[in-house]
Amino acid sequence: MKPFVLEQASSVTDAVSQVGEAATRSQTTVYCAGGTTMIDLMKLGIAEPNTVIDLLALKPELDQIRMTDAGLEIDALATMAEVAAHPLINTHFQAVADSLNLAASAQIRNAATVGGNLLQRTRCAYFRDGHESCNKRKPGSGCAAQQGDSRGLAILGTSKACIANYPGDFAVALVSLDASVKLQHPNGTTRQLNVSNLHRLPEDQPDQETNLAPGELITSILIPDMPWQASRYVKVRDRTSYAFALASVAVALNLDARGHIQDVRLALGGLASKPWHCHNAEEYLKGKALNDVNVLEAAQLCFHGAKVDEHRAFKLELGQRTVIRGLVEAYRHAQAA
Amino acid sequence: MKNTKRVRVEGRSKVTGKRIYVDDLRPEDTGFDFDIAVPVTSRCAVGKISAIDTSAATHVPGVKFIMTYQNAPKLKKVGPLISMVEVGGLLPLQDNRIHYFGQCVAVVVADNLLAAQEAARLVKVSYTDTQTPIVTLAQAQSRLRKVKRAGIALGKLTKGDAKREYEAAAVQLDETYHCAPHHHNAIEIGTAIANWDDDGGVTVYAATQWHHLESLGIAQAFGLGFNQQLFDFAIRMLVGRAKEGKVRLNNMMSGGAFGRNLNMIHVLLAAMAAKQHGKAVKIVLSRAQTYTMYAYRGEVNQRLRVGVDAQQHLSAIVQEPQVAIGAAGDFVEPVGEAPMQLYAHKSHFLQHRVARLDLKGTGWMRGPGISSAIFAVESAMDELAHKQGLDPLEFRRINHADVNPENGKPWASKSLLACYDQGATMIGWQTRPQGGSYDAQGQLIGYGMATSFDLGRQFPASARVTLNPDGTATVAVAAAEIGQGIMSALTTIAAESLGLPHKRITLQTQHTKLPYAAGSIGSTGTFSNGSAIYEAALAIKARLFKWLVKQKDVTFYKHDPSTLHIDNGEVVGGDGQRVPLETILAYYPKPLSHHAKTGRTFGMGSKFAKASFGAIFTGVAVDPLTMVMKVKRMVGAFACGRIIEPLPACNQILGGMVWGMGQALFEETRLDPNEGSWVNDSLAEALVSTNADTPEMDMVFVEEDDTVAHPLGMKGLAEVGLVGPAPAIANAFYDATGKRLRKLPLLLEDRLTTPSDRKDSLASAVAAEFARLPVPTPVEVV
Amino acid sequence: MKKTFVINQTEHTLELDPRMTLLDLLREDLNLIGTRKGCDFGHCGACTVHIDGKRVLSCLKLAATVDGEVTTIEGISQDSHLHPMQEAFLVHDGYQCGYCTSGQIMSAIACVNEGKATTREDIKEAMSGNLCRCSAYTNIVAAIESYCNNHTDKQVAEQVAS
Repeated sequence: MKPFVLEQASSVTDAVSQVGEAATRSQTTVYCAGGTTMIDLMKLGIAEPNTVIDLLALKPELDQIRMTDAGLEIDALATMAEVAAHPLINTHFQAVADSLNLAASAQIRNAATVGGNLLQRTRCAYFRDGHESCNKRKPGSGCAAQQGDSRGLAILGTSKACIANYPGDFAVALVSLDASVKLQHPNGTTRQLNVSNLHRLPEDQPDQETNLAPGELITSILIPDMPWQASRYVKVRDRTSYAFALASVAVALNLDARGHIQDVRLALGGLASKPWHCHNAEEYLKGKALNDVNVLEAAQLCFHGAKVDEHRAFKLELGQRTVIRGLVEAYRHAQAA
Repeated sequence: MKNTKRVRVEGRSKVTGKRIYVDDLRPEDTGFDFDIAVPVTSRCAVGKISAIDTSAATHVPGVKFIMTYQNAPKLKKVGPLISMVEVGGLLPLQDNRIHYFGQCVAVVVADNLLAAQEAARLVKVSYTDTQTPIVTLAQAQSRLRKVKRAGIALGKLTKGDAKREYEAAAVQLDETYHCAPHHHNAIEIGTAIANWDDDGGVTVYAATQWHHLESLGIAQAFGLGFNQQLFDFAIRMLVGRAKEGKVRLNNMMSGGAFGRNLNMIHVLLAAMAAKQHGKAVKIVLSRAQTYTMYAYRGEVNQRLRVGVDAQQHLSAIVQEPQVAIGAAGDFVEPVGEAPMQLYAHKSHFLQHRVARLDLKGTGWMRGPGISSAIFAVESAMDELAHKQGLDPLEFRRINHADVNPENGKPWASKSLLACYDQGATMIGWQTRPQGGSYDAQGQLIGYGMATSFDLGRQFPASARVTLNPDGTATVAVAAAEIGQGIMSALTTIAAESLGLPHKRITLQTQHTKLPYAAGSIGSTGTFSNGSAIYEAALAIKARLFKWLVKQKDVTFYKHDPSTLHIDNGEVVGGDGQRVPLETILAYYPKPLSHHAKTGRTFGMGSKFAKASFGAIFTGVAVDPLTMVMKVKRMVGAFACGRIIEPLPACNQILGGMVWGMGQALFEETRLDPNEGSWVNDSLAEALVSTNADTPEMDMVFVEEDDTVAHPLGMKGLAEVGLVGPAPAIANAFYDATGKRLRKLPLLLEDRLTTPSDRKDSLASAVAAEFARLPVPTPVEVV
Repeated sequence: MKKTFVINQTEHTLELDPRMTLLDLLREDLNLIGTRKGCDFGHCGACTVHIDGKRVLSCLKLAATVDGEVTTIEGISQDSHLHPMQEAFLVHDGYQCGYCTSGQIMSAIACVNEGKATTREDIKEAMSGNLCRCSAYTNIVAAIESYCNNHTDKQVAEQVAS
């Protein structure tokens, strides 16, 4: 690990101004909260900051979970475990609780904060192992993954420059619930950004992963308190626990009095370069009966524009089947609701 | 539930964290100070090093020395090693040639770990004359050649005219079975410490499965005795000579080994770096480096043809495995060892063909060869049973081998039929639901079974047993504890053989100066070394009793020595009189010690065939949409001769079954086909079973008397749990889905894309899913 | 930088390289070698310790950012008195090679305290952050269940050696 200076943040405004100031001196400064992503990246030599700002000192003021008029607000330094165990999450937002409980391990969930979780980076082996050809690490250097073993990578939202997938679960559930993040800018301003717009498509700049301004800090996550009858997160992986998703789907569902779909949200994980919102399938399903023919059609719509190769061909099939599993489970739950 | 079984000898140190593994050693433990060394590995598979730039690395504060091929000690050739792993053919840092991705190209030595790691990252290596590596069997067809030996088994076997018998068979099966390469993934990463002694010898701390084999490799490389190589080793093996050479190896317990801890490159590197640095070093691998600094199980692809006659008896087995080996070393997965001994059959033909790939050398891994072989054969047996409309278990009973089909010898003991009975009862085989029916959660149910098999052998070993004047005993035997529980088992054998309570036995195992012991490999360690202890105990008791009956003022004067025995620390006469052993030993004129080599009992059973058998039964649940499979239940019944220590023995079998399950479901180390690098070289991506993957499991040992072949009545048990689950699970998946998968692991992509024997489409699966949903009822919108 | 830690109820003030992880601090500086390094990347759980009673991975925690009292395997028992969870692992043979065992036991204690040990399936899932390559999982679960049932089987365990 490259040597760095460790600073402790005394307040949110202090933290963001430190980073903003460092940026003007071309110094790399990173935030570190739970550390489960950042320390990993620093050990790998992917993150080589000059300065690390430890946010944990701010935890007491930034780890609350509360219901507001705008919905449920989760402070960014709440840990994954704290959020997953919170009664409001369990009762209102099952997909969120599931996405957290199915992620990583209990130890990691005890340390990792939800703000940091949103910003976890791809597990693409060619990104992580310091490969010479990785546009995400070294813009313009190429993408070794496309000639290599890409089994774990994305089929949606990819570009010629990058086929890395977004590895997380929580953000996928948030996208299905129209959640947004509250941001603090180094210049003192704040704004709100939809989680589905937090991450960027790789296009020709895969090193630019988010729409955050330099130094901008996620301070909380806001989930609108929509009365979903069912909210479900289904994760398919190679082993039963402690593994990244090969495919995952978050479904939020409301049925009308006839049992037809009044409103639905679908988001995908494991399969795309960012948490993937399936607008087409949602539009298709609204007002329709939830039956085998319609879910098959919706599942296909989710993968419009998907690009595969021999290693990833199965993910198209698996993805569709995962979407159907998610819809069936949400339907089962909504009926029981 | 009451648990009256003995806990492990070293158990307390393990549950308190006080057990010392190599990485835990500090200068206070070794008696000398050491620096920290970290390897640098190549990012090129085939080529030559053109330049190594160490300037940035050298400037990291704390860095003391960087070793490359340019300044590394020149090693002497290491001759053929019993382990057959890489160092027998390729020694590290001897020239600038690169043979595989991840080969060691430098070692950075610093006064602390952080500095060594940081500097290692800054060593820049440039390559020239690079070539595209050949790293899969599919790429390497032109490199395939026939071999005479595979592991310690023969490369070719024939019985009758198998190809003709196959052509004449009433039922034929001709399929190809593939097993992916994978690594041991022991949780201990890998560390070794070396310090050069004043007399030119070297003191080494390492975790190895075979003290004397590890030290042989080091001794050869540095020219420290063992110059006659195998000859000297063979003498040590046969005579049990305990005199220590100049390689002084302290063997710490292994934090998992599973076959990988044999003739390890990093142990040699530690000695090399210490020599050149002029100070002791401790070399520390990273997790990613374990994928190229240790051996692994190479890729195996087998064409298997099996013929069955009209009476449902096997008439021909034609097995043609293609086995991948690495760039160096001669280890070949002995795929053909098992199949020809498993079922009665009329004829067989086996020929291994081997391709040398541009990869790290392959090596031993739990269930070497046999796990790949049994996967093929037991999948084939299932397929053949279905072809004939027979229950898979019934077909196996029909073909039970009453004598060893390879050599015609009678089995010393064999209780496979009882294993079938008990295993079938445990899982409810006769009343199992029809394959492909749905459980309460809407999952497809499937059941499968397989026979398992383990050829435990007895290898030469020696041990020194000393009866101390206070009535305790010291047992010296350089045996390696790798988690299998050998220390507990050897303690028990010593206690029983001497007639002493367990707590009076002290075991010494750690050092090469102790009597030569067989390695902890291939289900042989406890049996081989236990035999030596048993013989030493017999000799000691004979000597003691002979002396005792001549002592006029002692109870047993003029007794027949053959009527005496020791029980619970007391000498007992034929008339039932008891005298505490320590009372007698107080008068024994000199130390009562005996160094035995396995002689009397070795090879006693050679007129018999010897093997452990088992039957594995499993039940799986498969999501009809996603094909996600969960093993719900796995049971096994095993016949392994006498079980010395039930607690670790059961544990080892259950753990082996979980390994087999992992092999079935996800274990593979994936290769970049162009660069020859291991892509998933971390424990996050090279998946091994977690607690949540583990099904409800049960196992029983079928009672068995094997004393006809050996007085201890033991057989091997380390691998019998591991080799059956993979085919049993593949067979259960077929039962559930009608999809026959012949590739390990049974990856999700293959589960999805393999066509089913049954009606199978996404549309029908989805329709069935909706058909099982409760009838929609109008719901109130909240 | 200087920092004061409370580890196993003992205060330590140490000069720290900010890069030092809690794991390396425990092992290299404080000689608390019972906490093992199995991967150094948060993938195996062997380095599990408690911070203020919560289980965390010490390999992914910078020592300088530790914000509570640390407990390691060395801190849960004293002298010859094993923690009942250690006793349960011993009696149920909840280990083989022993390398992951410290992490398993620390995780198991926390798992029970978190209230996650209500069913066998829950225990399995809650313990899945601790890999045991020897795969002593069945016995690990049995040990935890037995601990929960307060049956440590202490009386009937005949110990060969201490």
